[in-house]
Amino acid sequence: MSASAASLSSQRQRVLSLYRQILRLARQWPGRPGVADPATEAAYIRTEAGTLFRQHKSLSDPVVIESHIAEAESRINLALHYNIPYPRMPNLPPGCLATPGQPKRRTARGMDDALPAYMKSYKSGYAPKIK
Amino acid sequence: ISQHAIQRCSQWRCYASASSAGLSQDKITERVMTVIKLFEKISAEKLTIESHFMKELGLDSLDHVELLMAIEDEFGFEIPDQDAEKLNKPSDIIKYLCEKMEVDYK
Repeated sequence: MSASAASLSSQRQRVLSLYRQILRLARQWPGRPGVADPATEAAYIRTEAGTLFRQHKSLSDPVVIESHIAEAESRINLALHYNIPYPRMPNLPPGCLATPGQPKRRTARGMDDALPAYMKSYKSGYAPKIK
Repeated sequence: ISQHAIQRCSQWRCYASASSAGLSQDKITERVMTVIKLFEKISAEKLTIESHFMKELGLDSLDHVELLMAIEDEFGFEIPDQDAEKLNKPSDIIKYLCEKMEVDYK
């Protein structure tokens, strides 16, 4: 990602304003009374955003960066819609679990392919460690 | 009422509120430097008012965003994105805050 002397490139600006938007969300996170503590969830949002953004900070292909920007925007919209900051785990597609005689690598690829775009950072090979 | 009179009135009003709220450039400087020192990614030994966050203190742009969020929390108002990307040294932040809170900056 190149930065000109006077201003940042527009993709970089979008990434930083996304990060800022997520941190502002964490500040005012309402939580779910009786179910989820706002402070815990806000801390989770900050940790997850920090981990994932830093994990991908040395990417250089603009197409890949664009797909990660879309991932971040989807995660923000899902969190706002459901009021749940955690990743929305998808279901396994049918026929995905190994049965006797089925080769195991198809299972792993089937599970990976089933992950939607907003779970891009959680596909095998990426898995971030978030406490 | 002339424009000049209106400007003088608003300046007088704001100056009174800024000083009666106990705001001065020194107080702002002190609060800004405290917030920056408490930021765990910055080592206090290398920190001066003119040290550049990215070039001298080793912050990356994500750390810079987090630092400005801490400043926003301390002073109670939001800093828009296009202003934020220009605040690269503590002195820039102090000057910006003085302008926003209408405190005299020397």
